[in-house]
Amino acid sequence: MSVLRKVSWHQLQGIFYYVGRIITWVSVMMVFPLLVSLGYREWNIAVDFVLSISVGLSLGLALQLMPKPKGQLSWLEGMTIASLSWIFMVLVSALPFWLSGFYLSYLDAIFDAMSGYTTTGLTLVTDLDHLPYGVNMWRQLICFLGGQGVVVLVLTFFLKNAPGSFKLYVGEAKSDKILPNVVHTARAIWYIGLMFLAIGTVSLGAVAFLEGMRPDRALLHGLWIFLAGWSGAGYTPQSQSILYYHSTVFELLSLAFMLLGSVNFALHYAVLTKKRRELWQNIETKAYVISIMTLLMLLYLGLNRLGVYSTTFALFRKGFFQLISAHTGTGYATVYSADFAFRWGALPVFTLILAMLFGGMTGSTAGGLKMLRVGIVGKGVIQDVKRLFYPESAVVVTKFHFYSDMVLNDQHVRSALMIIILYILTFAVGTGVGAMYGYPLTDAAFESASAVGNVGLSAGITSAAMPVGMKITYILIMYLARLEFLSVFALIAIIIAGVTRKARRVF
Amino acid sequence: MGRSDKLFEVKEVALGLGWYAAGIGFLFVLGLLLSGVVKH
Repeated sequence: MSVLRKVSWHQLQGIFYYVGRIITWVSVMMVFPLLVSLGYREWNIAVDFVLSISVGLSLGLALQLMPKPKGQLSWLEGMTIASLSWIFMVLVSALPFWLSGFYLSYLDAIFDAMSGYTTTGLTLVTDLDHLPYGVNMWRQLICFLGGQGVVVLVLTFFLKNAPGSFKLYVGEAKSDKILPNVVHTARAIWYIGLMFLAIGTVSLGAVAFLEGMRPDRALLHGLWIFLAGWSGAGYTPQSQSILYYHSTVFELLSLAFMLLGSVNFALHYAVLTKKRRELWQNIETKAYVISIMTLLMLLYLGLNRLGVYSTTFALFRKGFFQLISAHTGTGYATVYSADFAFRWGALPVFTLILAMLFGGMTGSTAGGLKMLRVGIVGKGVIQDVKRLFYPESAVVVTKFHFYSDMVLNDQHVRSALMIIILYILTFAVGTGVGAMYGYPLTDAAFESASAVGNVGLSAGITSAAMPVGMKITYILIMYLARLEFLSVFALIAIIIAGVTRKARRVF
Repeated sequence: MGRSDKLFEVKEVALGLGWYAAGIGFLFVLGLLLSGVVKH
């Protein structure tokens, strides 16, 4: 029996019921920026939020008029709910951006909402340095929601005993079950996020205050930089990014939170609950440290050859920060965009492109290929090379540790390679579209890697003046990459099945 | 959830955070040393 034939009108209603539930709670989240705008007497912005909340709630509640599904959700339904929810929540969340008047069009507002939720950080806002507090709050908050997982949030607090909820969780590209119960897993993820949120906001806020900021602004900046740093989004309230703060300590702290945000939640849970050995036994940690150190060497060689920075410390301060920002998929910068295009040269830029494509760990807020996949493919290559040196009859067994000891098999390598190939194809399409619009190939590749890796570093291409075709391409790339393709394919399959009867038979 | 299946213990969390601080410090110093090696 085919999978797609099972999707009946009744099941579609169930899918829309859950989407409605998620949209409702996303709309409720707008209360936070609404309160901030009221606190700062930004009345127009407050009205924008009230309007957006009304639209979101109306849509969400209307969808919940559909009957709630009674049985278990199928994999296809779970994944479709996740991918469809992401589309709707982006459309709703873009409303206050658009109404604020800081975006040239609704498409630009959608771009920023998608960029925020997918924790990318590329932006089309027209006057970032004068953005109202309320709008800034919403921009930074959606990064946190997207990084933690909106579906995970709804599972944790607002949807008790949803049958088949694990499928929703996987649909949002979070696959490691930290605890046997998925609701407990989601709760653990949120507790970890909220604990670091408290530490991050207080520490960054304190440094900003000591650097001379007004207490309320310092606290908000601390909160915002944490929200987008931990999530690997890289949105900042100022166009100069982290450079704005002129503080080495602030840079160091944001660097630490970027790294911590790119760590798998399951690994966080292990480290915070007596299983600290996991930190150095885990294949992802090993692959991550090896990758960071190797790329760091390449980066330094390139920067040193061109003599971009005069002292070792300056070279390290700029190089290390930008590399970690790229590798964790954050996109915070302590150099100007123009530096990548005109000062850094080909080797450092190529190194950053690699870092952006590699990304952070699976099950974290980071994007990219993920270090587990890179590590598994690396182990697979080593295994094949070993086979060349052993007699043909010898059985070569390769082990790795990922929360338990595992024996590498072809299925592991195949799954990892499938996603890697999809990422590379998407990266190539993004680069091709950029080049087609007349941008230099290196810049187009840099920007495409930034979008596909959900990073947000820019070589200067992304701006409100960018062609519409490129805006749409990047929106699709960010969406596909964040949900790791599969859930989006599920949605497309359902649409195809709905449109053509023939497709139902084929599938 | 009962007391017996608490998700986190405060002491363990504090120790875990200490390990993270040490890990990030190690990465930082290693990076600084590497940059010195490359530069000179």
